Amino acid sequence: MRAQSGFVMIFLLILILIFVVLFLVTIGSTMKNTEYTQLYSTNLLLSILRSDTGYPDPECKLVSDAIYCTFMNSEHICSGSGLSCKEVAEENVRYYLDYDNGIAKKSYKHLIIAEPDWTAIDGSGQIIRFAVGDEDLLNPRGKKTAVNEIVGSGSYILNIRLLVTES
Amino acid sequence: MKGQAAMMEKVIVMFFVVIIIVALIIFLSGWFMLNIRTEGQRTTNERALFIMKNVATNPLFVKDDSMFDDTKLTAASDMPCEAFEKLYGENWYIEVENKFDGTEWKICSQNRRNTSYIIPVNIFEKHTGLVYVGNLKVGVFI
Repeated sequence: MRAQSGFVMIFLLILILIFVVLFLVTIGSTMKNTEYTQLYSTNLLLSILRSDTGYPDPECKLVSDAIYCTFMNSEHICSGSGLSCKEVAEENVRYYLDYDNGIAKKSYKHLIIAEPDWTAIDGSGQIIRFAVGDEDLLNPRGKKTAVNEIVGSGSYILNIRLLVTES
Repeated sequence: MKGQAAMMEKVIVMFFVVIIIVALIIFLSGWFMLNIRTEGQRTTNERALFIMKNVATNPLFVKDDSMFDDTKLTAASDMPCEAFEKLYGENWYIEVENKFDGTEWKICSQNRRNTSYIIPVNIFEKHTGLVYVGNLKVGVFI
């Protein structure tokens, strides 16, 4: 009889455990929305790259132009701004990724990184690097959504990537 | 005395069995209700996402994928909501905001409980030829 009540107690505990697990799985599946995150990330990158910087200089007209010029013509000064292509590109991308003024959502962390398929060197012989946002996202651990856009043509192709993770 | 103890044991076991049965009933009905609500929410979310994807590529509103034309948006927001119901059914709304100057276009917008999604988009200003960034909000009324 004692064994019976012990068995019933264990059964009750297992049952409670199963309830909790099933409940959490159900709640978890409601929260996940990877389709939206993918759509959001694709549109965020595309919208930033296609927007006007406000400068008429064709090398810096769009944000994508300014990023490309950062690697292709690093010494170039965008006419009417007094700023280099890199400064214009960084200023714009930083503004759009800003949670209060820009279009990025607070519930995500973002990093935009541009990688040329050639070795781009500036006037002082330094390798040019372009990364704006939360650089913790470069850490290979953790679940991320990555989208990319290709800019340029011929042998000078620039891969611009956006990494997004839930904050 | 032994008989009484055995009786007590039986009562305790029965008590636990009743608790298990009651817990099972409560859990199954709760889980069933939760599943129905989750399914309802999922359907609403899927509909909002479907409308969002469609609006972002529909030539009625855009110049290019996810690039809204301000003149098309102005024309669309002046049209009655019924004109779009043939496309997307009832109980939904769209709001597009230009982040540069704060201009907003609202189609079928109402102050009701809803599920909504927001994605970044571009807005093409026809008279200047400039491209700005903005937000597209699509909601489905619950």
